[in-house]
Amino acid sequence: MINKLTLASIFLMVAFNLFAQFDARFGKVSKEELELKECSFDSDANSMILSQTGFLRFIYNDSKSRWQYRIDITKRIKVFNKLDKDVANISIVLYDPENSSDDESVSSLKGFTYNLVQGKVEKSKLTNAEEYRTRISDYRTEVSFAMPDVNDGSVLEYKYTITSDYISNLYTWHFQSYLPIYYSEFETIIPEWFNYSSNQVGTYIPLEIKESKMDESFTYSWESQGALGQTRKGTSSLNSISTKMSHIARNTPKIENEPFMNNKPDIPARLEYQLMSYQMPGSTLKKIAGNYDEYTKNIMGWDSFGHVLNKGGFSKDIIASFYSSGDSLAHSIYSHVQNHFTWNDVYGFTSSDAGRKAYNDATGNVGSINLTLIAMLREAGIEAHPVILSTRGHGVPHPIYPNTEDFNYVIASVQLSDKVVLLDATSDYPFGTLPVRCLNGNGWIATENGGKWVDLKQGAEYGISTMISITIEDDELIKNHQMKFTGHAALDEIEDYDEENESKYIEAFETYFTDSEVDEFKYESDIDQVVVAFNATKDTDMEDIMYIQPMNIGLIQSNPFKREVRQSLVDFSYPISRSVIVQINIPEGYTAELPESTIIALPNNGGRFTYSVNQVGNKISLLSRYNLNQTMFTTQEYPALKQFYDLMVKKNTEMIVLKPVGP
Amino acid sequence: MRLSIFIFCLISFSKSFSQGILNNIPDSLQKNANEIILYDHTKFEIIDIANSKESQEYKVIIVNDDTDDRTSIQIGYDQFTSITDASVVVTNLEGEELESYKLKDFEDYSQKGGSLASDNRSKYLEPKFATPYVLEVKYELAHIGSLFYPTWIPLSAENQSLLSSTLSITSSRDNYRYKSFGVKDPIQQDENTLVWEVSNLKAIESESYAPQYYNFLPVVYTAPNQFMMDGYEGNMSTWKGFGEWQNKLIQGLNNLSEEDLRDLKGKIPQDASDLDKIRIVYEYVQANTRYVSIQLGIGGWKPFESQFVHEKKYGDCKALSFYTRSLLEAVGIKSYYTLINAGYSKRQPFEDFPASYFNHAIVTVPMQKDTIWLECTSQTNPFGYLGTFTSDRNALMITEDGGKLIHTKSYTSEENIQSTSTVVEINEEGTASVNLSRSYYGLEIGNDKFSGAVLKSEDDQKKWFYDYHSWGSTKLNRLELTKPSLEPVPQGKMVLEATIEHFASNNANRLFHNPFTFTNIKWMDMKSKERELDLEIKYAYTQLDTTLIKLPAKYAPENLPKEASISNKFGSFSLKVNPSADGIELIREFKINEGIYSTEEYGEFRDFIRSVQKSDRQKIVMVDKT
Repeated sequence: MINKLTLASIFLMVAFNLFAQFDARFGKVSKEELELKECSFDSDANSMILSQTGFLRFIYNDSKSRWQYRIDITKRIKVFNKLDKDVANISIVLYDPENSSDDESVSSLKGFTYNLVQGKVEKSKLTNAEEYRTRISDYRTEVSFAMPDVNDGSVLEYKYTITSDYISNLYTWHFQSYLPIYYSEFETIIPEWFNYSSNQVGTYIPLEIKESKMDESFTYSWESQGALGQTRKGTSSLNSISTKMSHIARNTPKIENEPFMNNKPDIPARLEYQLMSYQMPGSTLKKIAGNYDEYTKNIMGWDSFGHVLNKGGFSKDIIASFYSSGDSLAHSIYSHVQNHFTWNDVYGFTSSDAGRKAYNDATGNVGSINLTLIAMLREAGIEAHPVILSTRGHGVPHPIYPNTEDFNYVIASVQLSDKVVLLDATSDYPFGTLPVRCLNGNGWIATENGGKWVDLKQGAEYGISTMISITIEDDELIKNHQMKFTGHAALDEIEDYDEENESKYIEAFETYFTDSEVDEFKYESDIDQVVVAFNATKDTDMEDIMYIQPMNIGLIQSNPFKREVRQSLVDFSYPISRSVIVQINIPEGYTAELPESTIIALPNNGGRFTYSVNQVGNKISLLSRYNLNQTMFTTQEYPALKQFYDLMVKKNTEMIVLKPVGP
Repeated sequence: MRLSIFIFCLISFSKSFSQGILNNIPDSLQKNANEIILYDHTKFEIIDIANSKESQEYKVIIVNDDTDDRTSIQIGYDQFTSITDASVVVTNLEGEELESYKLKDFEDYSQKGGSLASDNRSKYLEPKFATPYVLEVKYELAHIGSLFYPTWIPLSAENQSLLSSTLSITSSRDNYRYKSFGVKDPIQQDENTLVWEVSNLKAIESESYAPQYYNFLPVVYTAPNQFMMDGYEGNMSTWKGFGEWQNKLIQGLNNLSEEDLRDLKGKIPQDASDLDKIRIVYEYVQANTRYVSIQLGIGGWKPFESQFVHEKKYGDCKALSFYTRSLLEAVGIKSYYTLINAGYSKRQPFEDFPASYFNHAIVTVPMQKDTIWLECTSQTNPFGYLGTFTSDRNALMITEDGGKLIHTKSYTSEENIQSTSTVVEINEEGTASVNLSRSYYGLEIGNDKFSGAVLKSEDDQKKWFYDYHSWGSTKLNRLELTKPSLEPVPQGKMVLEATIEHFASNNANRLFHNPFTFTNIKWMDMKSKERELDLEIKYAYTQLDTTLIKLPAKYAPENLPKEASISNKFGSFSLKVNPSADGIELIREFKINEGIYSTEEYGEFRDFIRSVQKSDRQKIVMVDKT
């Protein structure tokens, strides 16, 4: 056993070791790399990154009197064939606000394309004329260039230096990209006065980490006024025992684009740095960021967040006019705020207008509306707290280290007599139902004495229950449908119905019955449920065998999961329940052939599908019920989920046969 | 509790009463309108051959949130256009000002898009207010080049209605031309000013297969006669003149040396025919260059020198086309640099109204029999293949004598074919083993993005297959994609072996199977019974399918699809069913013609499509004989 393992690991090492010797330093491109025919761990790749290295260190900028970081980046790309568009067209985007003295800049750009021409290595230089600088927006600039003389088999290499004033978040190093990467190294040298937390996030990949100490010295110039008013100038230096760390990843597979991906920016494996605190010699420790408890204390002190929560005094009279108390008062305040405000479609978890100003404007961003809601609830004596969150697609907030940019939304958490509900007054949804945009992992409840994570999907539901009764008479097959939509399913229907005229809305149902006439359509909606009823009628020949598809609507009849494997999470917005019950009376003189009953379950009670068939006398009843409790599925769970859907789809499309009893 | 309901009512009441200016707008213009343009005045003043001024002033009610055409204000500029002034005032329906903005409040963005470099930029403002609200927008532009004069399309989006819109052009009279559709003749306002006006245009709703809006909505095209761009002067009143101007731009750009050409010339055999030579040059360009878009200043219309492309091995459509033309010239083949309007929708330059319609360049090589067109920006495009990007439309060929309008190849339903032959063997559990061979001809190589998939890695080809084919729980055992052949009407191929579970659903002693899973037209959306807009089929094609279904040994067919044969002006459909000892053979042929059909013809068109869709839903029922 031990032998086998060793063998396997040797094999892996051999298989992955592309080159006898590999030198990632700029200019050290070997002939072997030019002769390389394919990527050993992704033989189909059209191109790959042979190496990307980043060396980051601190400098003291005397003229700006501030600390900066500087990073030297070198990237080497192998082009097997030119089919990957834009692989040789490079764009470096910098954060460089137009109206700020802080910026990022690029310098020392150099590039060469290496080709093997009749066995000889030839170099083509990237010239200055081929570099373009563009201001992309008021906040970002870009340096772009196209590498020259790129052929099948070329190796491209370029390097540049970024100097940045933004030391609170150091450069985020991506170990993974849309190309496979053979070697990626990120090295930081951080002076002893700065304390950063570094977090490996995204898809997990193993990193080789080395750490050592080294001496550094920083020179700065100073000026002081002497006792007689004379100016004295000089330079001094500061010595630091700095920490040098290097992180290396090898043979990192490319990122896949997959159907139904939520939170794309979270996928690449990367290293993020946040400045926690710093302490210069002779000064006190300055805290920049910390854990969530400290962060919560911090934002609770903001004029645009914590301070507005207790400024609900303006709403005294409004609250008094509701003449209610307790849970029903919470309902009244919620619907009042919902109706009073019109949301301007802007996200954000802060607002210095929240309270009286926002209320008088009757419009504002998410922060203005929901922080006002909380202030009013508190004014009414109801316990309410803000929950900050990241919306779907915007990524998942870091679980340990808070970062303001991770959050883009705020809702209210309200303590009722028997439970806690989450409210978002920017929507026109019923009390306690959050819009889908909010249903993304966990949100952070910020309270005056700390906080905690809360599952945003708690209480979210999506339900459709359908009753079908089938009658067959006079050569007509009539299916009477009663469909009840609840939770997000109801909200979807209400939105569709309100957006379209009724005939367009009915068309959506008709698509399920393309060979039948749909009539007697009824639609009724309440705040939290929709009931739809209609008949679908088709001609049938009662002389003959009848093949009946008992269920057409309200259930899953095709599998959205078609790929065999998956690399990212499957993230359903909410738990799902769908049921269809069919009743058929077998006409006189017929016998029925029926599908078989089945139960399928996902592991760990993640979901369950029941298909049951019963016949009593001439009455047939069928039931198809699908419940999905788990909303996140890992790549390991994907095959089970896919198979579950396959089997469910098979059962949901089964037919009933009605046969005339022989003469 | 009662009181709170009362307050609720009050609020909704007050909302419904605060309609302000909406009260003065006729219902017909409110219907389906998410935006109502109260007025929209475009003024264009021609100062001299190069310079002009343009201003636009409009007021629009943003009725609800389901809109995004006029909610943001985006003003483009570049080296030839500057924004001299802009202001935006937001009011509520009562006319009370909510906010106002000046040019400095606009955000500034590069509009380089997918280009490596471009000087296209825009000023952008998106006021965020709760609907309904009113925007009053004004801005002024100064142009210092005259290649483009305005195209006036008063209604710019669906679900938008309009009370009044005008275009006024001031100029000494004979230095511009115009062409209009659906707009009354202009009024002579003063000696030098013409004014066009439209009023009370109802909102249109989007419909599938609708033609491009400029094909049926009111529009005025304008174009200069004498014009100048970056010092290059020309006359656009004839295609010949426009071509002469373009000739000035490409003058002297072919600076390839004999040394540069040696490699290429070495590849051409002594006895090569002209066609061989063209093919060798095209392959040489594909192998040695790549597409990089760089659009700076006059460079937006002027190609790079051939030598630059040769050395750097990249260029944009103009540079690569011109380079290809230079290489062809070097091997003794006459070819022409050609301007075209590329895109899936065939926007046609009017023969009698020369103007700058173009956004792309290709190469035209006239041959004794058929003309060959070369798309030079792709490393994989089949030789002479135009695709839906550039086929079947007018293009401007630049010759020694100026310009000449030509029409590119149009692909017919005899050339655009997807032909599939399949053997399906079903077992008693309903699991099928499938052997399928599908050929894509002509434009059909773009079907399901096949032409892109064929370039992918084996692994990604499988993912492409799963993403684009909904055949049920399919497991591929083999997938082989063959690249399209390198010719003007290319042929590509997909061959596969797959196992599909539950391909026939079973119940007791029967199996149900839909044999039209592999090819159908389910996706054609013909739900609507009513239609407001014409219907356009942009490209003709044919689906040909031969499917042999082998039943499990113990089973016999109980019910088979019905045969059909339909033929009309829209296309044709036929289904033949041949049961035999081998199994059941189905031969399906569906053909659709390109064309624009009126709303009167729609019912008939819909019936045709729906009867095919109905046939495509039919099942084979098999029964256990034992």
